[in-house]
Order: sequence, then C-alpha cells, then structure tokens
Amino acid sequence: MLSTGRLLYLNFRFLHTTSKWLRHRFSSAGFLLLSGLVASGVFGIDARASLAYQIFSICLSILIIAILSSLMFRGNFSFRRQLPEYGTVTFPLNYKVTINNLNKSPHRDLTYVDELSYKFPSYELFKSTRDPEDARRNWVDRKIGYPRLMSLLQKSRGGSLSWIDIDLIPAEDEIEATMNFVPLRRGYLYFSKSSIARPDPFGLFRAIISKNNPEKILILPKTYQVPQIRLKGHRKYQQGGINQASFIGDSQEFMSLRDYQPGDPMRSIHWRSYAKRSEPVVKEFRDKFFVRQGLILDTFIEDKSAYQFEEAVSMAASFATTVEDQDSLLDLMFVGTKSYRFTSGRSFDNAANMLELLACVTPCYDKDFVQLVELTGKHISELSGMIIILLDWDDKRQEMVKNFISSKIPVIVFVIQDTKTQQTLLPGPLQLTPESLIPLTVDNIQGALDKINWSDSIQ
Amino acid sequence: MNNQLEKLRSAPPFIIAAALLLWGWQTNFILFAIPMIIIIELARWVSWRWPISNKEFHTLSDFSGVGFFIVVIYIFTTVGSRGIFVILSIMPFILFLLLVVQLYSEDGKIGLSSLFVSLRRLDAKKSPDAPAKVDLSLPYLLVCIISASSGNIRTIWFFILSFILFSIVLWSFRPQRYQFRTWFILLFLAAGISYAGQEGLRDIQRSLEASIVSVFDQFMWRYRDPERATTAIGTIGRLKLSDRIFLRADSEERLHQPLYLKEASYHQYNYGVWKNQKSVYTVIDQELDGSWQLADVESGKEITLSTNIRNEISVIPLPIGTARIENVTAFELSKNNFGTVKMEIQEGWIDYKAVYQDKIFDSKPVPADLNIAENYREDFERLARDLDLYNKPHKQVVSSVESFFQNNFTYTLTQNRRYPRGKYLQNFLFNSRSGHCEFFATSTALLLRVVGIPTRYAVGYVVDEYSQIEGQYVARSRDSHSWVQAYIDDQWRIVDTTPAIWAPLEDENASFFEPFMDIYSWISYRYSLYQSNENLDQEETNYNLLYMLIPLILILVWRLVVKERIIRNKAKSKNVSNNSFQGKDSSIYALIDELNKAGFVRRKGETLACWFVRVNETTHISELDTAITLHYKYRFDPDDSKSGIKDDLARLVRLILSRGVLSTVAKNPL
Repeated sequence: MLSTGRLLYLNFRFLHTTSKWLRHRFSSAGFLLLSGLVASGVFGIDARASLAYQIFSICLSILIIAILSSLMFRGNFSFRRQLPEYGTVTFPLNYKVTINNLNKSPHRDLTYVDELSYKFPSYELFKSTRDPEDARRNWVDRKIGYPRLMSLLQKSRGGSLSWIDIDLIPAEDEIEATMNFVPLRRGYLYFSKSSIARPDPFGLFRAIISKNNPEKILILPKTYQVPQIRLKGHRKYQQGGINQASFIGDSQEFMSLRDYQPGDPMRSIHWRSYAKRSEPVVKEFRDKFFVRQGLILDTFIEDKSAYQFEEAVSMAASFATTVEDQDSLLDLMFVGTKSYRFTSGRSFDNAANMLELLACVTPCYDKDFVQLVELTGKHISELSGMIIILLDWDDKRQEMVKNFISSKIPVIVFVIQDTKTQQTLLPGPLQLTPESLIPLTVDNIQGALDKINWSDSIQ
Repeated sequence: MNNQLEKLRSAPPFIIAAALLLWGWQTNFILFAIPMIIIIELARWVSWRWPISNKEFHTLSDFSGVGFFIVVIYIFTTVGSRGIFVILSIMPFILFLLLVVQLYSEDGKIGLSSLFVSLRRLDAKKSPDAPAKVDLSLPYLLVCIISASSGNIRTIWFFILSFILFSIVLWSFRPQRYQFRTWFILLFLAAGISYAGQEGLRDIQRSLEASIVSVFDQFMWRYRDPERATTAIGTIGRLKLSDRIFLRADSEERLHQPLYLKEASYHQYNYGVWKNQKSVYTVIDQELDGSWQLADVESGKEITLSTNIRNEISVIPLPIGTARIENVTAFELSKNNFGTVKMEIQEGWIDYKAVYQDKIFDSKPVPADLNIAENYREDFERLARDLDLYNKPHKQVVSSVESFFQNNFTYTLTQNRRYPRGKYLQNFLFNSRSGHCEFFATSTALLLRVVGIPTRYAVGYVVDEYSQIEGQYVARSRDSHSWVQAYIDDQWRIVDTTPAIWAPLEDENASFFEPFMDIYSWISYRYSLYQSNENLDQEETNYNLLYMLIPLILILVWRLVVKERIIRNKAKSKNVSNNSFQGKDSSIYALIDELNKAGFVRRKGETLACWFVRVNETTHISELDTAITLHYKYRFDPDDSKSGIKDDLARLVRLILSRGVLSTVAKNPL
C-alpha cells in the first residue's frame, strides 16, 4: 500500500515527465492551443450546454495535423560546443555552438537546444530535504511540496536551457549560435544531448533530431570583494624549505657550501666549486621562514540551511582568490568525504585550482566536527594565522578557536547565519579581540563585508 | 512551462477585435464588445503609455482575481450549477482590465508573478521563472473564442468563424520554410477533420447520455417504477450499490428495530421482473389542515422523512402502515391499490412527516396475488412438498418458510455462474442456496403462493443507520431492500426471509471516502433545504448567501488599501526618522558649518567634493577625502544598512574638528 506522500511523489514525477515532454515538443503557440484544447474539453463535455466541443474539435484536429506532419523530419546534423573553462554560479554563462548541416539542402526556421543531464530526486531525498526557498512560498506549496521537488531538480540539473532560433543553415555548411543560461549551482554541470528541431507547418509542434553530445563544465562558487588579509602572526619555518617554493622573496639567503648528497636538486649545485673540486658541491640556504595562513571551512551543516553552507563556500572562495602567489601560502582545510588540506601560493597550486576544489565541496553529514579539529591541530605549528569560516558559534567551534588562540595564532572568524535564526554572538574565546568575530547573514554578505573596519578586525 | 509562455508572441492586429465581435454576437454582449474593441485597438494609434510597476500589476491582478471569485459566488448562488456557463460567458470582462493595462503599459507585457501569487516572493536569482513576463493578448483571444462558445446561437457560423480566427493566428505563426500550397492543404484537412469531429462528438454524447442515464437509474438514483421492478436475479458479478445517502429519517423515538420504508409492491413475476397488471391510482384529497389522509386512522407513530426527488411526480418511500402524511407542500398525492404513493412536488430535497401504525393498509388480495408462472410452479411445489407445507395453518407455513431460509441459506452479493433463462431461482433453492434479498423475497413470495397464501413482492429501504453527524437516521442506496407482504388471517404482514447478515455485508462495501462524502452530502442537503425555504419565503431571488461575500470583500479591501497603507506608513516613518531625505543627518553638515565659520565659502555650482579638494589645498586636512567618500556612500548608496558608515563619518568629523586646524585658519584668514 502506497503512502499518501509516496503517491504524491509518483504523481509529481509523472507530472514532471509529462510537462517536460510537452515543453520540449510544443512551441509557445502550440502550448496555448493545447491549453485551449483542455479548456474547451472541460466546458464542451456537455454538447447541449455550449458549443465548446466545436472549439475542442478545431484545436484537436489542428494539433493532430501538426503532430503527424512532424513525423517526416529527416536530416543529418553535427554539433560542437565551445564551452568556457569555468562559469560562476548565478552569473549568466554564454557559449558558442557550431551546427553543421551535413545535408544537401538548406534548412530554415530551425530551433536548437542543449540538454543538461540530471537525476530525478529520490522520494527519500524529496522527503528529507528542506528548501530555504520554502519560506517564501505559500502554505499549500510548502505542504504539497511540488515546488520544492522542482527546486531540487533544478539544482540537480544546474540550469535551464531554452530553445534558440536558427533562421537558416545553408546546405553542407555550418553556422555558429550562442547559447546562454544561468548556472544555478556550483560544481560540474553535465551536458547530455544536443537537439535540433523543425516546426510543423503551423508552427505548433517540434520534430526533433537529438544526438548524444556529453560534455561538462565547472561552475565556480560566487565570490565577494574582500581585502587580502594578512593576520599579524609570526612568520614560521616551513619544513621542506624553499626548494618546494620559488626563488623569489626572502628565500635565497645563502648560508654555506657542502658536499653533494644524492637527492639534492641540480639547481643547488655550485658550479664554480664543482669545477674547482671536480666533485659536486651544493649551496645551502638559511632555513625558510614565510607567512602561511590557514583558511578553515566548516562543512558540518547539521541543522543549518543549505544557503548558509553555500555562502560559507563563497566566503572561502573569496579569500582563496586574494592570495598573492609570491609572498605567502594559504592552506585550505575542510572535511568532506575525507580530511582535505590544499595549499596555494608561491610555487604551489594557484588560486584557480583552489576554486575548482571549492566548486565541488559538499556538506559533511557523516563525520564529526572533531575531524576538522584534528586536521587543523596537525598543521597548527606551520601556520601564522587562521581565517575561519563557520556555520555556527557553538561550544565545539569555540573550543577549536580557543586552541588556536592558546597557540598564539591570530584568528579572524566569520560566522554565516541564516536570516531567520540570526542571533547576537558572544565573543567567547575572542573576548580580548571581539572585532575578530564577524557575524554575517546569508542575504547581505557583501553589505556586511563592506562595513567591516578590517584594520580593527585583523589582530 | 513559464519559459514557453514568455516566448508567446502578441496577437495579430485586429484579431482580438474580431474575437470580441464573435463573443458579443454569440452571448448578446455586443453592446459591451464594441467599446471594449475600441479601447483595445486604440492602443495601436495612441502613443502614450503608463509606467506601471510590477507591484501595480500585482494589485490589479489581485483585484481581477478577487472580482472573479465574487462573481463566481454570486452566479452560483443565483443560477446554480449551470452558472459555470454564465461564468464562461463573462470571462472576457474579467480579463479585460489586465489586458488593457498591459496594452497601455510601457512594458507591454505582464509579469508572471502578477498572475501566479506563488512566484511573487521568490528570489529572481534562484528561481528563473520569477521575473518572466508574458503577453496576454493571445491567451485573451483564446478566452474570447471559448467564451463565445457558451452563447445560444447554434448555427454552423460559429464553427466557421472560429476556424477562420484560428487560421489567421496560425498564418501569423507560419514558418517560412513551407510553401503556401502545403500550408493551405493542411489547413483544409484540419478544417475537414474538425468539422467531422464536432459532429462525431455530438453523436457520442447522445449515445453516452443514454447509457449513463440507465446506469444512474439502476445504481445511483433508483427511480422507482411502480408498475415494474427489474431484479438483479440473473446478473453475474458482484452487486455494488452506492454509499450515497438517499433518505433521511428523523424520529423523536429511537428505532428499536429496523424500519421498513416501502416504495412499491408488485404481484406478477417472470424471468427476473416483478410487475403489476392493473394498478389504479386514486388521488388523495388534501385535508383542511394540509395533511393527506391515506387510511382512516387518526394517530400513530411519527417520523419525518427527507428524500431527493428528481422527477416532478415520484414514488415516495413511506413506513409500512402509513396512515397520514403531513408537513409537505405537494401539488397532488395519489395512491394505488398496492400501497404505492406518488407525490407531485417541486424537484429537490423534500421533507414530509409520516404518521404510521404497525398495520398494513394495502388493498385486499386479488387472484393475481396467488399466480405463479408455469415455468416456476413445479420447482416450488416440489419444495413445498419437501418442506411439508401443504394443509398447514398459514401462520405455521410462514414460520416454517422463515426457518427454512434462515437455517439453510446464506447471503451473498456475488453470482458467478450463468444458468438457462428462468433457472436461477431453481439453482438458488436447490443448489447454491446463496443469494441477495431479491432471491429470498421472490422465492418466499412464490413458495407461499403454492400453498395458497396471497403474497406481494415489496421494495423500498430498511432504515437502521443512525448518523452522529446529522443526529438522525440515514438510508443509503445500498440499504435498498426487498421483502414479502403475505396476507395471513385477513391482514397483510411482512415476511422477510433474507438473513439478518445482509445489512453488515452491505456495510462492508462502504467506501473509504464514505465519512467525507457524508459530510458533503449533509452540507449540500442543509444548503438545499435552506435555499428551497428561502425560495418559498421570498418572491425575489435569494441574495442572502451573498452575505458570505462580506468577509471576502473585507479581505480584498484590507489587501488592496489598508495593507498598502501600512506598508507606505512604515516606509514613511522610516524616512521621517531620517529627516525627510536620506543622509540629511550626516555629520558632514557639522563640518560644513565649521568650514563656513572658518571662512571657506562654497562657490555657486561647486560640488561638495571639489570644494573639499579646494579646502584641502589650504588646510592640508587629508581626512577630508575620506569624509566626503563616506558621506556620499551614506547619502546615495541604496543599501539601507548604513549605521556603520554614519558612525565612521561622525568619528572622522569629530577627529577633524578636534584638531582645531579650522579655528587656526579662521584666525588667520587667507
């Protein structure tokens, strides 16, 4: 026996599949005529009461002719997308598509669309997901849940592409069309099919030729304008030294010469001494000190909203893009499917790679916050300062911050709050430097960032 | 779907005018249609447009929506269920305002959020449908054509004109890739199919109507034919009657045993059909007190019955032994010699009080009450011999027959096997020994007849179910029952041999939705009674239900006027606290005062920033730059959370003034 919820879900699924097919197949005018068919069908059910059955008959016959004439569309086309390397969530993304007409006749009045693949949300996901947009919906929508399911589906797909018009493709020639859409989520979006359609003589129904054309594009999180933060901590010795880094900065302070040992890099060989002694001699440098900051991202979403998490990722991405590659290192640390530590700056990976990583970060449901504490604890000795982005300011998070402070590591803490559950935060372990605790609410992050007096906040 | 609507083009020129003419002609609204056409088409010649905001569109859409609901309630109240076609006919009026405002707006389109309230609060960035806009002209055209179909002029011209309108619209959407010839051939093909289709649809309706009415008659509303009753003897499958409440019985005393309400009785049976040969109806004269006397008895038990009458002259169910009917405004009442009472009354739910006794007042038996068709006689005589019923006192015979059926038979609603015509009763009596009430009643009637007891087959309802919701007894379609009236010792008495299990078994058939349907049924019953009472009391149309609109109108007024004002007042009070314009409380003005006092005069037309640069050249107060930046941000940035900027600026101004540079300069004017 199906529960009411599951029955509703199955109905929604059916409704979605039907509506997807209708949207794919019918043009706007066709859709209107279809609505006319339904309305006149309802009113025309009693042929004695009205003449609506005649309208029903007209709409039906026109649609039948339109659908039948769409069966005769034959053609050979090839499609090639020119996707950019990245897109940014909520910012319009444009790309070109080259459509090649391989037929010996030209084609007019065609339409083209790309499809993004998606997985229909399971019933369990549908039941358990809380959509922050629900707060803006009315009671019926919230209770029934169809808009929530559609929102889940949109997020799974990542965007909606609509048909574009192609006036003419000459025979055995190609044309370039521009597609645009707004990515609705970060991470990889997967293109599945490319479809070209020909309208029927009435312009109501599309005859479609589709080809599998799988490709993917990475959508980066959005970023905010934040200053480059240099916390007032000490520079620290970096094990592995400058040879892991670059030759620029205060790294090349010569100390002495010594005999070559296997494993020493070629670039350290002192060629003059080698020539004199006929044995390899290498240069030895002073220990390497420079600034290495930690960027901690709290992925433990618990009962917090998905918007909070998205904003936290955006904040992390904002700081990741401010790293000056030559002067310092930034260690991004978070817990996902495992504990991650990713270093950018100097000759390590650049900020773009860090953004790629942040594009794919997901909330952590199955692990404990302790894992993040352990991860940061392991690297605490190498770090000069910490930029911490948290989803809450509870005891365990305060305890972690307290550890950094007791290790004399300056910190700046951003707590992302939901507008609904927003509350005044007590500084807790940051009572000596309360400016270092910065609460931000999801709907006004940039506004709040603009107001911060950074010189006060940075210890 | 919204994306599809967004791409909808506007209607070709003058097509809406043509559709409105068609609508006006069909619905007799032509006098309204003409000014509407002028207003709509004038938009092509008039160049001025209103700058209408989304919010104003929302208000207008709400206004149209609430107006629509008010009209719906009004029409359903005054016209009833057929009001749906009245509503259909006035749809162009209801949407007219929206279309006109769209046509004369600067945008030329209307936001989907105006039409769908659920989209209004959505974040445009996260919901791509939220900011979408549509052109209403084509949907309006379609509405006009469908509305026109509700008109009364039933000529072929409606079909022809409608098809022409559709063709003009299709022509404007025509893809250029096709030749005219192809397009026209397909259009004519569509015309042919649609003409044949609409003819076919009319024929289908005729044949469907015929079959649906017969199904309704049989299973839903069993209009009793007092001359003929077709039983389900010989029907294969499971009998399933509706849960619908057919009758209500309000008795002051609690019923201690099921109450038999008879509709009709018959005395001739053959091949599954009971009928009456000669049924003579006598018109009953109405007494001076308005009652109708059926028998010469003054007093008895009283019960008020309510039932739904769909025909002006209908057989009404009455308790067996009804002597008088009261409290009913019937035009005429007649009764036949088998105790069937027909009433001529206005259709709908009717109430009547029956005064009854335990005695049956039907006419004395006639020879036909002893008839048995030849094809059944042998079987029943054999059974009577087996049961040793011959030459026994009639009372004893009845008792033996009752115990025979009670002890050897079971009740079932299902018959699975087919038998030769006329052999169903034989199978029931000697093989299956299982059937529903019609088997029991028919067999009992015929069995008693073979031993010389006159019998009649009676049909009606057995009332046993007390509804807590209604506080009275109810009988559903599935409570319909048949039994036997046997004439023993010079009087008729009921012989019901159907096992007592029949009622619970029927109850098992109750639908899951029965309680909800009961509540709905009760509400519609009360409403129907109220309406009929009002109709009697008032000569004019009943407008009382329109009072129900008052809360709706109040909500509308609140939504459109008061809520708006509250929001405006809130905004106003916010502005008032900021001294009429944003940024007037900026600390920069204190600094300006001090600069003026120090002799720095701002030139005519000089911007504040330029003036500060000039002052800076003299005073070397470098913070002036920051101060003017902060002031501009506070003054002009649309973001309303600026308390931080204001404080920073105040701090900075205090700092500048505390240095006393300005007073030094003032002492030594330049």
